[in-house]
Amino acid sequence: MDTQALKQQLKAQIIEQLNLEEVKVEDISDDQALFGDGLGLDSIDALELIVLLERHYGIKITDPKQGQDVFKNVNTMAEFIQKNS
Amino acid sequence: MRILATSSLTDGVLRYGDRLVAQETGDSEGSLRGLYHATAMDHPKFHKMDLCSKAALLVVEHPLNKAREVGADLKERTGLLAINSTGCRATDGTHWQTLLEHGTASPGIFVYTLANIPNGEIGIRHGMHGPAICLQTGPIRAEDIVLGVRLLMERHGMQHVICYRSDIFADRYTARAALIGKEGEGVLVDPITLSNTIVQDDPWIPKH
Repeated sequence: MDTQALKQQLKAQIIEQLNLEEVKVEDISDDQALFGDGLGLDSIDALELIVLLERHYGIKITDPKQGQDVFKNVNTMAEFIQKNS
Repeated sequence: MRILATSSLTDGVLRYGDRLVAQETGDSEGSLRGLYHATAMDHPKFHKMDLCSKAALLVVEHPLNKAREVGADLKERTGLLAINSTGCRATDGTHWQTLLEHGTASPGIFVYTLANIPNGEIGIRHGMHGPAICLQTGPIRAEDIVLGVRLLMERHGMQHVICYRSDIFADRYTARAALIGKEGEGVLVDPITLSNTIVQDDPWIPKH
């Protein structure tokens, strides 16, 4: 899967997994922060993202510090998936 | 102690006091979503919650607005008393289903298996840092509710208490709430008035 398709897929999976009912794929830009003032995700959402990576891509994140870097935005998530899957 | 405001939400019908605010048809998920939009509540996290928390959040909105009107200190001097008979049975089922299908829990579902989670959701939305009680019981005794309210006021120094019930079972739901003030204009709190306001047992709710 090319990077752009992976990013689109990730956005759809984030919306579905986190029940972001009022958010559409096109509302999320590739470099938009997922936490804080960006998409406004919280700590439970962070755990859901870890589960998402494991369920859909077979990648486990065990180090919380690694999670901080991986879940910055869709770009960093896609890059991490391509390096580790 | 006086009841300063009441609200109720049963199977798609939301009332503030006796006033019909909105009415939605459909299943529980759909009607609660419709009521969320009808009340123009701006809280995107609503959609992540389980039905018990959604009903609770909708039903306490009016009593909390009334609390603001009467100058209540929501942050430090307003307590929460949650009551329910069915707990989080519906979410327990979803949680177990997830475990069966995936072998791992979903954090976003798991948190809603905790019966007191609506207190947390209300506290987050309204910036409330005061004490909160969750009474999970079969038959609800109004005398216990009065004791809980008194405990929050007399031992924890609360001036106001949001007392609410939120029950989900199968595809039915009911939620009721009241703002109780230590002082103010309203009906005096006693077990009978509280029972009429909060308890009002629905026959479909299991009693054990």
